[in-house]
Amino acid sequence: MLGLPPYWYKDPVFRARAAREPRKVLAEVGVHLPEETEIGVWDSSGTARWFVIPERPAATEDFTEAQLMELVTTESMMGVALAGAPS
Amino acid sequence: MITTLIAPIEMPASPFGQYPRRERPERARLIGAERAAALKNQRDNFFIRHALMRRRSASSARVAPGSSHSTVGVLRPLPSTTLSLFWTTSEKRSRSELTLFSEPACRGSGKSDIRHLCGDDGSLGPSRLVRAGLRDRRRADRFRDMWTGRICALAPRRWIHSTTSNSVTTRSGSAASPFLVDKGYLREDELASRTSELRGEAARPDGARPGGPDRAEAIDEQIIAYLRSGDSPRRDVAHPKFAVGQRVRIANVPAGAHTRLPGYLRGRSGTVAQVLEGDYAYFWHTGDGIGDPMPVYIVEFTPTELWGPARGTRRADALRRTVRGILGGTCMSGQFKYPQDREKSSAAKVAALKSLLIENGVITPQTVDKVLAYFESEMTPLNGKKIVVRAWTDAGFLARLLADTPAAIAELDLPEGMAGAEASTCGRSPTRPGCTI
Repeated sequence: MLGLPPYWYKDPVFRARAAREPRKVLAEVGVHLPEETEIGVWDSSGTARWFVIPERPAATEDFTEAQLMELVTTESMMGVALAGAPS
Repeated sequence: MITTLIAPIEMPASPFGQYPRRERPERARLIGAERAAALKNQRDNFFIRHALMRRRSASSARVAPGSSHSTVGVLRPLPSTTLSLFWTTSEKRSRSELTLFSEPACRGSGKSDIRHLCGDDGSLGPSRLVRAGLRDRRRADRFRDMWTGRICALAPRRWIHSTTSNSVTTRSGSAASPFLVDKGYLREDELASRTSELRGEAARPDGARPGGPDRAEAIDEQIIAYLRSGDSPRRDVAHPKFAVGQRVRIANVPAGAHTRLPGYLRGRSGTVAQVLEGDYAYFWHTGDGIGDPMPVYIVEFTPTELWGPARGTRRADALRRTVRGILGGTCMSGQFKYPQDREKSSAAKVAALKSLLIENGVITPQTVDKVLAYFESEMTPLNGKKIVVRAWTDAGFLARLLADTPAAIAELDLPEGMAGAEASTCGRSPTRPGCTI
């Protein structure tokens, strides 16, 4: 659904750190979330795959589907970026 | 006490920094001391008992004072001229499959050597190690069967991935080779000689393969069909023992040859957040309880339970007895660069595998290109984007997506193989984003 995983998708250090300190890892990649924002970490497994429906960016009510499509990045569907952020 | 010193294995530095250190050193030391006492009477059996059946214990009972490396698993049936081992360091645990030594010379034939393999009195040399292995032949056979099952299920996909730049799956190229040798697709000696030919060189053009164009076409179609339809492990409707909201404790079962249970969830308590709709089997029996069809739970753990005081919530799938969870993850691609040559050590072996499989008629020269094209043209993030945009613009679709993901996805015009996926989404709000790993 999201295509071939990027090469860092299975980086052992990333995997371990994302489970232990997701907020810090997200901040390192430019996603700074306020303290009151709760972060959920979801494991995929042999049985279940997860993907994120990212938040729709503000002021995009007038956008066409093609324009909206451009806002959705692979990273945003993996939950490590906000939709509309440059990738 | 047995001393097992393995030369450090080259691992490329991760752009994500250091692997987090394990947080229970006191407990590890305690187990180490207990094990050390127990091992005095079990020297011969230590290698097999602990390496094969008690990966965690072996890891804890570090047997190389002063060394940061220990052996935690054996991947080839014994006796064998070549053994492949799981390995671990104090910084990380890994499942790299590496050829470590060969009997009887016990010299390294891979990237690393066992420098010493002897008792504290020098009595346990390589030959005794192999004899210990012989006594446990039956167990090793069982292990081999499980291992083969795994590779059988994953080999084509993994091997093909391994031709791309993905370090983990490139290592799987090495993992696939014992299976390919076992099944007679290629010989170990030809793989070894081809690998050494190719090491340090650019891959040479792939050789021609016997068989007509019809057969080539059939092979490619079979592989693409496998990628497209996959193999659903669902067997029946769910027969759950636990209900949503119930507190459950994750078993701390001894790890077998393969475990789906992350160490940090062992013995932890969580709350059942969801019960999947079916009973699911696993490709083979892992030795620690997974294999036969069983209900699958999504269990929610608080970070305090797992890591001590912190904010956020972590979710992981749980089986009735153990947790299924693979960590994988992602972040913004452009921010991290790996060294260009990080795959160098395994690239030659992957190239050798590919050229030999082509020459032996297992795959065709076009197979890899076709599979990659399939992922690049059909299985792309565009599918996910369509779902997201539809959810943004159609509140009804979003509701249906959250209620019954596969059915909602089936409404969209997506390539075959996508709609049937038993995908799930979960609701989230601005104050509660999700991060999939």
